[in-house]
Amino acid sequence: MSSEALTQVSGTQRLTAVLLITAALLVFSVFVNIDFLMPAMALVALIASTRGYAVISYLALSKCEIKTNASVTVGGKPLTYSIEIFNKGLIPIALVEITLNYSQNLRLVKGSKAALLIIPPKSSVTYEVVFNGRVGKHRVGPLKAVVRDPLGLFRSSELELVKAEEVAIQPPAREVMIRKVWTHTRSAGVVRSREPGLGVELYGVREFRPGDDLRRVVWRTLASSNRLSVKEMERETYQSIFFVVEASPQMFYGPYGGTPYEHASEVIASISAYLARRGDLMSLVVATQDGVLTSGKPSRGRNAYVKISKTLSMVPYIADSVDRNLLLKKALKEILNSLPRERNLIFVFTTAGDETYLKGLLEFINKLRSLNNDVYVAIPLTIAYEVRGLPPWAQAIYRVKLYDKVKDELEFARKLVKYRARVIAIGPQYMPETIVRIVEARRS
Amino acid sequence: MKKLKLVSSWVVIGLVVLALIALLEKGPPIAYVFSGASPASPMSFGTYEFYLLVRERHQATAVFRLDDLKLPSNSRCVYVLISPDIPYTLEEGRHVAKALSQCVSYAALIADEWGTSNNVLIALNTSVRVVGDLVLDALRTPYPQAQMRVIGRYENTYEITLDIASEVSGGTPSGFVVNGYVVTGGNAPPIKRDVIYVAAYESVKDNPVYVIGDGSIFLNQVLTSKEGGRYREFALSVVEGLCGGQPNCYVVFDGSHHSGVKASDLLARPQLISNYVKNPQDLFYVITPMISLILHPTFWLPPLASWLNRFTGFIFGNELFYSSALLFAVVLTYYLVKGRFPSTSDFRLPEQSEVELFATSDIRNAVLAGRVKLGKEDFIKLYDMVNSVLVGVAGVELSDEKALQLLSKAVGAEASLKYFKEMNKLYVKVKKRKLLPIVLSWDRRVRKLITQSEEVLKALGTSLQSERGVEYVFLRFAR
Repeated sequence: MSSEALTQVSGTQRLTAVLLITAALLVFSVFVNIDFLMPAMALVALIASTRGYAVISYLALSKCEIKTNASVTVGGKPLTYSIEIFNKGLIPIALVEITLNYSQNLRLVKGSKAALLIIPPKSSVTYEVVFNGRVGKHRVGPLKAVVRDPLGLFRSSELELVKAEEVAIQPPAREVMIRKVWTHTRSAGVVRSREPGLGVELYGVREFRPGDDLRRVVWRTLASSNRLSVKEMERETYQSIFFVVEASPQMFYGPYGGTPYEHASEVIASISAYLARRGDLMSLVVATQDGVLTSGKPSRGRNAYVKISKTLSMVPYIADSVDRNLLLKKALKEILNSLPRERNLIFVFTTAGDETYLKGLLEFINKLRSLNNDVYVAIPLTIAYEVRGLPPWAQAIYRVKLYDKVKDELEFARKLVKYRARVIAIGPQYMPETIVRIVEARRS
Repeated sequence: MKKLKLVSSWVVIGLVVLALIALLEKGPPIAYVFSGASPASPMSFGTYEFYLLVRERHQATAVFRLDDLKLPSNSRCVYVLISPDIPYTLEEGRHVAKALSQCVSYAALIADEWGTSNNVLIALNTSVRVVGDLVLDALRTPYPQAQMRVIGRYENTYEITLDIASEVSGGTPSGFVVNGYVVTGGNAPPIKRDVIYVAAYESVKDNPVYVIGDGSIFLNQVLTSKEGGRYREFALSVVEGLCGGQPNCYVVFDGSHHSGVKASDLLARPQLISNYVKNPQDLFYVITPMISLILHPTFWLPPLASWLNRFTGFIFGNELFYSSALLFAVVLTYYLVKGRFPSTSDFRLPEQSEVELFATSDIRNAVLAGRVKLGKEDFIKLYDMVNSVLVGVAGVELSDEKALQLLSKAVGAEASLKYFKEMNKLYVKVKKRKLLPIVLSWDRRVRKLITQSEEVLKALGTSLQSERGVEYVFLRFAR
């Protein structure tokens, strides 16, 4: 028995009573009557055996084989996390209390945060919990455990059975949302351009005109018919789109699964899934307190969509206040590193703020606009998010009470507009359609 | 790093108990305090300094019982006897002589002012004797200046101040006082003499015996005094002379006839201490053996055991004390046993808390808990909201008569008129601080108006009570 395990097991308040009785019996056996010695010895034996068992159980638990498994999920879907504890020894571990720690932003929907286990020898038990998945990076674990003897006279110190793990949950690309924007674009008649111009798809062959690039001359036609012709390409209609998320604490306020960040993530994921089919160039930059996360250089297709989704899943939830202008500066630096030298469409997802932030945001917008980019600022209206989940009567009172805040946020949007910024001040409704409309309008 | 405890506390306690029993069994230390010129006495009148001085140069020892006087047979021995307090018998003198005769050769230094060592001189077959009278100087003080000649290898003459010295007779004189007096009896008058011999030398069968009629010149207080250097030189010269340059000279100090008192006797009769203390330093040498006695378990353990015995007898004899003692014993045992187990408070492990953050958490929670009270400022907000919707949707203000027409189409003439009047009257009351109409409870009134406003707003295509509420109308205007 290791001496370390001995020091890890301590007596509980229940032991105090037993010790007191034992002490009294021992003293009486010396000073009053020797007959008290037998029960005293019996209690001493009980204390010794329970302590021994607690120490052995602690050792057995510390040597258990642990396997963890977290199901891959997306926001809004269940995240199942299971832990299998295998007792390799011959000693049954009678009473193990476990408790699972996790990010306080996660919500457990199935299973228990804590449990009492009995692990038979050469057997295993599985502890499973289900969280309601929400976009972002979360911590699951550590799983802490303590061991007690069956009478609860002794208790071990906390044992960390499973270390904390990070779980990244990607935003769902809502099929309904994608269908909606497809329908919207189809009804708007947005198709291939079928116009000659710069591109990679062949449009046709025409006669050479002065100024045409000699590399585009069709030599075969020249050789066969002695006519100088050039290949003409179909004008590319792809867009280069940047999504920028300013992940300050305000973006994480709101009902579970319905915060501005989660909504923005879903919108970005759904739109990128749509734009991936359209072959547009896309990139994402998220400015967080811990640094700037990016999906890398602009890319197209499913690859771009996957990269953007993964980046959105790596964003940690923060509650501490941050310098929002600093976040914008970091984001700008990152964008400028990967911005293609063409007219890009940039969507900035942020929340309303004070005058200082307004100034910083305008600087950010103007810098990007000066590089010949189109910048749109999507500002979610806080009340439109936070009112969700309240009963109707409470919504009315809540709206009345927070009318000033609504006015302030609208004022922030108005000021941005006043300084010629393009603003999408909007609630959870209609945001994807609005953004797609902007993208497609620019394409045509 | 955790410290490894090699010996447990219980083992230490056990060893201490064993040590106490062993000390009891062995008995208390027998410590003496000497009053005279004993070689074991570091006090003023002792000769311990002289002993140390000799021991630095030669193999030296001190004996305190004549039976212990066993001398090496392969060395030259020098016997040193300074002012014995107890007179030697002839038998004892012979014992000394016999012991000295075991050595290859021997010499003796006897410094004595009372004549208590004469039987040793007789036994050594010398003609020299300590007369036992008192030599005074010209001023009749007992501190005469003597010219002392050291014989042998380091032959030299020293001028030494004696202190209550005696005349020495016989042998070859080697020390004298000039123009002094001799007092032979208690009340006899001093007799003037030109020369008084205070030291003599005689060699018996090549074994020199050097006798000085004063032992005080070898005392600690003299050797450690400011002028002690001269005396130390003299004392060493005498011993070196007697050793005769032999490398294996063995010097033995005889302390068997010096009177002493047991430290336990001093402890029993503290009034005797003053007899032995001549200066503060002596006090230290008297107290130290007494302290060693006090610390010894034989001094305090038997009385303590006896007291405990009486105390337990008293406790067991008294019911109240007995019960209290039992209780105390139980508590003590409990704490002793409890100390073996580290304790902890056993609570369930803390569960993970979940939070939902809201920018407006306080208001949201208050609304849900029903703690929110609506006031006149909330009425103004409601008025503004309805007004803004009306302006945005129909282009008319709520205070405008056209709004009444619009509302009457939407919610009926009677209801719209009542709502129109109430909203505007209350708005004027709040804004212009009028007394009328009287509002008993703003909370109830605003809640009622919210319900009525919902009807109006619904008719205008928006709502206060649905997720897609009035803010979407405001957003439309903001673009």
